[in-house]
Amino acid sequence: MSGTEITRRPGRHSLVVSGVAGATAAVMVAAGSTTGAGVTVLGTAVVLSGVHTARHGVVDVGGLLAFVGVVFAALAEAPAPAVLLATAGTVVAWDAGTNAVSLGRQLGLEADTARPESLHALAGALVGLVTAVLGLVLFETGPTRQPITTVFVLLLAATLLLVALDR
Amino acid sequence: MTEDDTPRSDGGRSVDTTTAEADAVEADAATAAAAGADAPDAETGGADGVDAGVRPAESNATDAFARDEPSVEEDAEPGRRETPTPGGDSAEARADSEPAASTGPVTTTVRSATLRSTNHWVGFATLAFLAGGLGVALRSRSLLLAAVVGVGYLAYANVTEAPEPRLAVERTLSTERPEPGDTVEVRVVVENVGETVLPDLRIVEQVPEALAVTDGPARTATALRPGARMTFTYSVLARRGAYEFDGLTVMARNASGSRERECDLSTEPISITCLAPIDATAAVPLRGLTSPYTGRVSTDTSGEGTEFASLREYQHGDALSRIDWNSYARDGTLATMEFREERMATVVVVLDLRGAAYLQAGEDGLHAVDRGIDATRRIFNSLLDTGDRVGLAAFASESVWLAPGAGATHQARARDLLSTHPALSPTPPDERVYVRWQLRRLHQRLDDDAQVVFVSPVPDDTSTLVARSLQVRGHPVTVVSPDATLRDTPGHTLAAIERSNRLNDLRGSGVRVVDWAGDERLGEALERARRRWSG
Amino acid sequence: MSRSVTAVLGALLGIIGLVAIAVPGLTTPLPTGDAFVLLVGVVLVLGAVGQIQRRRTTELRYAETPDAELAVDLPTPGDDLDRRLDRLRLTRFNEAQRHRLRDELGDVAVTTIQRRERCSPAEATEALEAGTWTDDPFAAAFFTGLAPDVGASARVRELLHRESPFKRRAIRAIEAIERLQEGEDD
Repeated sequence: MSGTEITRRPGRHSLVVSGVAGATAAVMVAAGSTTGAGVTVLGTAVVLSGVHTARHGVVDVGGLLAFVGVVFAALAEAPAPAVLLATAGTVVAWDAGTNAVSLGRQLGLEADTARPESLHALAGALVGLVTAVLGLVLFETGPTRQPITTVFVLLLAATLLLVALDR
Repeated sequence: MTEDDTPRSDGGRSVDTTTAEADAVEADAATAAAAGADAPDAETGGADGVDAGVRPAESNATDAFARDEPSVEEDAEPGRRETPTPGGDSAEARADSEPAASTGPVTTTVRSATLRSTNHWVGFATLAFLAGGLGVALRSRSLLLAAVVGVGYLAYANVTEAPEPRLAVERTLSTERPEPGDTVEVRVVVENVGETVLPDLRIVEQVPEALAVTDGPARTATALRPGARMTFTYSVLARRGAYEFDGLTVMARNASGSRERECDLSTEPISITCLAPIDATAAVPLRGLTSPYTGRVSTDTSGEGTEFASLREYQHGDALSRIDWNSYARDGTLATMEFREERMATVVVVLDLRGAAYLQAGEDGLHAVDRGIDATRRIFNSLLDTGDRVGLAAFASESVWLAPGAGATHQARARDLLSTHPALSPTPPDERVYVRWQLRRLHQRLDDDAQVVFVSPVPDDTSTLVARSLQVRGHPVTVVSPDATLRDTPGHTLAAIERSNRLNDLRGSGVRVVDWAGDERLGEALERARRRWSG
Repeated sequence: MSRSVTAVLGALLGIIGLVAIAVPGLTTPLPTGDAFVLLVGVVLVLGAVGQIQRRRTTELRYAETPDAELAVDLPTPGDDLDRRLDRLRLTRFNEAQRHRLRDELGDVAVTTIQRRERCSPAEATEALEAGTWTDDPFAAAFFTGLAPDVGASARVRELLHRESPFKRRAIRAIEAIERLQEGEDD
């Protein structure tokens, strides 16, 4: 065999994307609970190691761990916007990490994938931001503040519907 | 070789890229006058404009194979053709990336497509359930809201579908006729000619199997709005033979990455044709290759091709019809006329194209079949020049046979066969070659007095069997064997020894052998062998 | 829960929730006692565990890309023998493989000896088995199966060598055959 074989794992720029998202989440979490921040940082580190070694399972574990940190913050009565942004941050870190692993496996680290990866992460961040704002507006602030049970019922409904739709 | 030998899947002539088949959308079609005349067509709207988007090049005098394929497949979808026309806004983008006289990206056709769920977001609902459950149980409002964010992501993941990519691709090579060992840069321009955004597009080039990529992966990832294009480049190492770039694989995902559509796209083919540097003396010294075996064609008819050559002294047993009665009448001496046809030998050059013959001495050596084809070409031409009738045959996955003949048309036919016949490929055949059956057929086709030049690296006993079988049936055989062996490792050395033994065996059976070493010119090898035969 | 059950349940709850937004107070009768709430919470967390399990058992599937950058190189004659000789190191005790190698090398040796000495195949085989065809004791030993006719120190050196004696003798045998063949061209 001759020719340059590609290395099937993500490159360094993938680490930056997930790292930044995770770090932002940790900062938000720190507003409520320092233990939580520590857990989120740990989770982000696990995500990054999963990206570096191109292992989906490790990225998943890291993402869950990072969210556990957010739970800590929420339970420590951190302000709702911080919790929501931190949630979005952990999801983006995990999503960008998973995407990076798939890119690494399909295209290798020699391919220049910085732009599509950043775009993907930005799209994810946007989704999180929009839903966070919507949630805050609809359920927290203003005239449409809803009782917790209503929120809960709607939430459950939406989750069930989407899970049913899940491809 | 002439310039018309580039193998093209559409069987057409090489497209002369200097007469540009200008992209109909280029407002400034400064490239060719012919194309310029068509620009007004492109700008008129309506039914004409629809066709003009792809057709103007076709009306050029030069063949527009670049346009033929897409127009045939696109008949069912005229709508697609309209998108290149209003390309004014992407023209600036094009001005930067396009070389002056190029044809522009051509819409690809989909050979196959697979849609699948990546399972990227499977199990993500964990977040919503976890946050929701804990939020309820511990009465934390912010956790419930976090669950809302999770639901938002679920919607993002599950609601969209992977787009169908509609792409136009243009591939340009830095040179289409490199020398072996040169680096050729391949530049690929991909344009989104559909109406949907392609948020996550991953592209892998289908590089011809025999070519190695030396610089940069032949893959890329991008996001393309409708009308946007992107370019990527990579380099391949040129190698003897003709190789065609005709497709790429594309994976289009939706924005969230939950669905992926993998498509095998067929693009306009472009080839690299690499011929080894021609020897200074293209003619090959063939003295001794055939003369001792001059065939005696006993023709009593003085038909075409029999031309009086010379007189010689009458020998007992010569045909009476050959006696030159004029000289007998003149001075009573008996002389026999010799006709040109008698001097001509009939030679068939037989190529070994079985899978076993595809061997290469190390990673950089020319491979045995390429050398064999080169030798065949030179020997064929040289034999024709010395007046022999030459034919071609091969042991290959497909039938290769050109009956012995002479003349310019015959030579052209042979040249054509040697450059475009699919059996003479740079890569080994997939199918088995049935040697016994082909050998039998060869025996049937050969004239009784035909000589054979068998070109084979002699990798196994089958090749010696073939040579001996032909020799035994009365066809004098000369084996021209490109040496693909090395002696750098024990295994290689043993194989080299085995080959030498086989060649010696053949010599023992009366077959003449030209052992053509890797770094030797064919002329030298033939000269060396000739000295051996006469010395 | 099956897909359609989930969907129906979700739709039902959705309607209730949306109505509850319009008609505040609709949801107040719902029990919000600690026990009930805890139960609901636990059920949901169990749901989360179920999702985790689902994630762990589903593999991510996406297109596998081929190694387009690699080129298929053609073999050099003798590549497979080199591979087999290399593998010998790993499968030291595989007698059948060694027999095959010995036979193959033996065939080539016999043919070469025949040519060189201009004798019959039987005589060549005899020479091979007797070890008289070459003056390299290790090469001869490869075919005779007996210990090579060298001093003890050379034997010890052979054993201490990294590669197995069989492989080393095979290589010596090949080299000896080559010398024999080159000699005959003179």
